[in-house]
Amino acid sequence: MDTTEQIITQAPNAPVPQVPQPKPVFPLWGAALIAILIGGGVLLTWRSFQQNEGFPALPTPTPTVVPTPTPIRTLSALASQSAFLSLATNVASLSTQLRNFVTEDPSLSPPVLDLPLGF
Amino acid sequence: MKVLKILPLVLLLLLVPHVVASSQQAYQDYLFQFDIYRQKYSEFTVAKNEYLKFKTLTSQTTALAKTIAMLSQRDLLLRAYLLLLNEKLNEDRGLLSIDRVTYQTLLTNEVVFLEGHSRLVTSIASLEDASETSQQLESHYSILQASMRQTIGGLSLGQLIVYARVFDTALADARALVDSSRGTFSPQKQATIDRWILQITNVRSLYQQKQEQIARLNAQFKGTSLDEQNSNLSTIKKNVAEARQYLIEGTGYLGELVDALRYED
Repeated sequence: MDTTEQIITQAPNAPVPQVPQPKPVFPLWGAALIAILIGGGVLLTWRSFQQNEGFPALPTPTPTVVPTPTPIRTLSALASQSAFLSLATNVASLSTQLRNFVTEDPSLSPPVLDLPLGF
Repeated sequence: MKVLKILPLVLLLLLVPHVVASSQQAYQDYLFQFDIYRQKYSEFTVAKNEYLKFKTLTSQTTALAKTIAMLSQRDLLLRAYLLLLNEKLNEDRGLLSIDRVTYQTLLTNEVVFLEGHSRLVTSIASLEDASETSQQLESHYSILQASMRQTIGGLSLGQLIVYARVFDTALADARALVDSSRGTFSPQKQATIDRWILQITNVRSLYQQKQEQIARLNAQFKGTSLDEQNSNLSTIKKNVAEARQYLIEGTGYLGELVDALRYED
């Protein structure tokens, strides 16, 4: 029996040395997740544009100014009389004078003197 | 001839501003006298301290001269202040003439005292004389200050009375208008107007009570010390302020009444 032949016949049963596979830099599931997120974002953006086109923005409501109606009062017969006008003027003048009336006149403060000579 | 007719009028017009501003002029004079007094008092203090320190004849002579000058100026200052009060009384239009005369008599008595004191000051021959003469003013000072404060209280009362008279005139005018227009307003409004007039009259009564209280306090003005006198004057001024407040309140009500009369409804 030839030794070379023995070696050849034994070869199929021998364990095949495995070549180490290179590990992927980014996992596949990560790429899938990013793709889903980007897709979702694009979808949402597109839908929002669609909605804007479909429903135009409503104008901001501005409050309408409704002035309070001034009650119309009828002047009395007295209002045009000179006696009444004179009274109104006198009362207004007295009111102003009283508000300006200073009960303590600073110019009238008595002099404070140190009298004892101290000799 | 025409010039002679116009001349008195021109003179009168020239005199009017002086008459109106007499209290202002008296106040300026008082401030001027106070400035001089401060200067003389300062010189007196320096001379006195030098004399007390060195006891020399020279320092004594200087101290005596400065003391006489200061005492003389003190009398002038007090007289200037009394003159100011007198001018204010002359300008017052609120006090009854009998009250005005009472206050002016108080002031005149004090002026007479100060004139007598000034004569004593001119006859001072030594520092002992000066001390004695100064003590005469010191012993009278409480009465002098009380007279001053009593007059100040009287002047405040006089001012109040002027405003009260204007108020009374306005109230009387309002009453006359309401009476003359009776029947032109609705019965309901007329009742409101009548009620308001009653309320204004009530406020006027409260003012009157306060005015009488002030007059009473001022007539019985007393105080042996300056602190006591100042406290009494403060009480009077507080009452004056309260009386003024009543007048303000009453005038406010009058204003509302005027507005009510202005319109039919």
